[in-house]
Amino acid sequence: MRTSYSKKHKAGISVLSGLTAALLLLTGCSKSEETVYQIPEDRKLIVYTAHKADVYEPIIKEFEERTGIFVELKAGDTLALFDELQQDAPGTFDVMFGGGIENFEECRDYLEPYKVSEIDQIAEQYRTEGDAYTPFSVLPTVFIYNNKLVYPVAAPRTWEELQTDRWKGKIAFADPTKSGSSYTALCTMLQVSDQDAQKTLEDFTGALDGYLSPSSVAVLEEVNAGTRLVGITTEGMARQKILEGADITVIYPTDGTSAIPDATAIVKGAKHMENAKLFLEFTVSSDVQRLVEEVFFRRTVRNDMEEYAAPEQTKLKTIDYDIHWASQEKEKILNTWETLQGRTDEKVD
Amino acid sequence: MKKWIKKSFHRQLLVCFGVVALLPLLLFGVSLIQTMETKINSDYEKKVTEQAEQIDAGILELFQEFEMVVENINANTRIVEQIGEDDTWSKSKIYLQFYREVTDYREYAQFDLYDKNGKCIYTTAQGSAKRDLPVYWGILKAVEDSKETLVLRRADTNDSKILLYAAGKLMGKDGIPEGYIVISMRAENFEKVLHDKGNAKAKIAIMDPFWRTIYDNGNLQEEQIREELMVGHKLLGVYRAGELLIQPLGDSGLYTALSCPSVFSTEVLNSMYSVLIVMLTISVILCVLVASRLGRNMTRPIERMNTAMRTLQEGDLTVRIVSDREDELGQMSRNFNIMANELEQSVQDKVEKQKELNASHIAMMQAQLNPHFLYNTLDTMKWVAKANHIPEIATMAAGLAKILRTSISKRQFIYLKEELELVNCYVDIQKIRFNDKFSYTVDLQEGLEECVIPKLIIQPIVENSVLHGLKESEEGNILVRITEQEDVLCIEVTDDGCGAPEERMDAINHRRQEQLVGHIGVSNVDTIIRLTYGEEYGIHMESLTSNAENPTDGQRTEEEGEVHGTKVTLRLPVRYGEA
Repeated sequence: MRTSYSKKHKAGISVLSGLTAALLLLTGCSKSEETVYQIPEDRKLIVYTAHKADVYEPIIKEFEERTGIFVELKAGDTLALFDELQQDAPGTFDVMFGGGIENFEECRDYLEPYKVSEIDQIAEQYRTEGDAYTPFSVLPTVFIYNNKLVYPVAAPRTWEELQTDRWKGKIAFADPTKSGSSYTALCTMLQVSDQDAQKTLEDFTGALDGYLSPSSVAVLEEVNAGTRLVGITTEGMARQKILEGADITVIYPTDGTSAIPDATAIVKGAKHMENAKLFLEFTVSSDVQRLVEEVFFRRTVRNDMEEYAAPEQTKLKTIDYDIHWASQEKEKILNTWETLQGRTDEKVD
Repeated sequence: MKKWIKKSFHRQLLVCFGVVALLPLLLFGVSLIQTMETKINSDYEKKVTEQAEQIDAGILELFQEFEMVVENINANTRIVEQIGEDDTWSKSKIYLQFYREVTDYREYAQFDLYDKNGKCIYTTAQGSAKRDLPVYWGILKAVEDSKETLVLRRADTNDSKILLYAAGKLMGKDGIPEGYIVISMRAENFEKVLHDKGNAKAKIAIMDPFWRTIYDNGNLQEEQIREELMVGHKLLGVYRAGELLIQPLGDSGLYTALSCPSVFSTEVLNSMYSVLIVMLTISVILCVLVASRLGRNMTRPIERMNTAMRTLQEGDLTVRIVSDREDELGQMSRNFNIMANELEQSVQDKVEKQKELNASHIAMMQAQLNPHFLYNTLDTMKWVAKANHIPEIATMAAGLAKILRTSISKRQFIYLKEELELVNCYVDIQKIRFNDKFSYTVDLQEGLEECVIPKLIIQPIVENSVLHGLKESEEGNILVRITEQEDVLCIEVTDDGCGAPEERMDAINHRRQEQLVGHIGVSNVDTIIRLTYGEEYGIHMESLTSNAENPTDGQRTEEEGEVHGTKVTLRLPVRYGEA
């Protein structure tokens, strides 16, 4: 009895499966000829960049169009990206594009040295020991002030002025623990100043009166809008902002300022090594460097491009910025900074 | 589960109904939806593919026209030769020529003439300032480096809403570039192109060779194409509902991505399936209703019968099923009723019989006096008679006691000699009663004393002879002759009395017991023998009327001159052994 039942069941199941098969036949779609789109691995490049979109977009676009290499881009904060460089597994990305050289100095061990073919055209002072990284553009630290709210004669000229009560609470300055250019500015101030670093930091945090701009871009906006009267930023960003119509003026500190380059480097263990090298060559090519001068209002790292240089170049009094010191003392300085910032925060509260 | 279903007819019905009702509905519904989906999708595939081809052809046609414009301007010697001229007269002449060349296409793009330094000389743009372009960078650099007549480049995102550049060289006399023709397309130009040469309603994205969007007129999320390709996925250029149909735009290096409508979107499918589910639910409810209805219709009589049977089992024979149904179940109910009727009848009969039986049993028990009391009494009578020298009473008492003992005893069989003794006792008693008016003789063949016979089979015959055969005679003889003839024990009881009436003898010989009321003694003996040994044995009774008719055996035993008497012959097998 039981077997006969199960036979019946089997018959039922086979009927069902037949129906299902028929259904599948009915619904199955016929495949026509297919075009397959795929990007071969040897035409890829993964770039992490600390540059702003205005800078990296044209460069990446031109690089792609000239070389046919597809660039995968990740943009972010300088410090966050360098953290990733140290923490990510080797091969996660190929090129670190942008960020002050003190950061590259710090991360030498994670970088693949490469000597670009046009190394002779790169100004000697920007060449790197062992070619661990390649300079990209020079970013002099400058002051800016709001033309409507500050008389030209009253504008600050020296670093020292910014440490006094005169500009207390009126200075736009980005958090050096987040912004690379801001840290460079801080180190420049410390190196220019005659007095003890601790004292300088205390005076400066006092002058900031507990206020920090959320980002380096915000510095420009705050000064332009008048919420702060003066700001510390880089020459390129300031000039670009002026071109966009901002009513601000750039001041080159008379007691000297830093003009240190940012850089580009190949990450050790890069998967797309050949493409990374092509990218480094491209960043120092005369076309890109001309763009750096003419469009980004930065200063080129090449020594053969005087014809494109901005006339303001002459106004710049540079100091011999000690990158190693800035790199070595970074933790100490930022710790002190945070402590002071905390103390002022408490005062404010 | 299976067992649980099998235990109830109701549930089995429900499952059957469910399978019959739901399965076809489910299969039909699903196949219908799937077929519709396939069909509609294939229709749309055709439509979208055609649309894509049309749009691509339209855009490519425009690019070809641009190329023609570049070639025409290059062929226009006035423009080429005077482009470097600075005087107003030449300028306006060039502008006129330039304007004439591009006038047909102005609604599709903006046309600009650049000198070799990237300085904008002429533009068809209205009211906007002339914009110079770097020659070391971007579109002019690309044109410079290219051998193509027309170079296509995605514009930078910040380039005053321009999305695409198409540019060509303006070659001087000696093959030296004198300037550039730059054709710029904005979103509105693409809309116009789609409207005129393609399909304005189509959702389309135009992408550069690096899968970056140049133009798109809907939220197509074509950026995902690049993302997917960058992580190493492969993409197929086929129609897939709800996705993008990607096609290379001729040999321009660009791609178009056309939105494929998802006619059968998840929502539509879901709503269709929900309708199916609702239908299924209704079917289930119907199934449950019909199954319960039908099940009740079938199971209720069965349950009623089941209950009736159980009641019957428990002993209530009056139970009956009331049913007005005409079908098999009604027949079954009626049959049950008939069966119950018969059962009740038979039980009643049985009860009555039992009652009768009980009554006779009670009567028997009542009749059974303590036999020991009777024996003792008879014994006492014997001794009292002896003491008082009344030997007749002593004999009678002793004989009676013996007969009584044998007849009451539970033994069914006795030895022949015992039976003869018993008959002797009886005869002794009767002799006293009848003043010795008859004689009694036993002729026993030797060796038969130990034969085993049923008890009290000779006594009733002898009694019959004494009471009936000799009742009118003054002097009578009774002869009991026992012989063995071929293993058959023949017991003949012959008397010389008045004889028995013909009818009675006939009744006895033919075993018609109903005619023997009041004369059951002989008949009983016949019955006992027959029941014990079989039909071939029994009793035979005959009258002894004349010498001629008398058998020789009978003649010798009977007195001369007697012409009548009776001979009763018992025939039974010779048996020895335990009595």
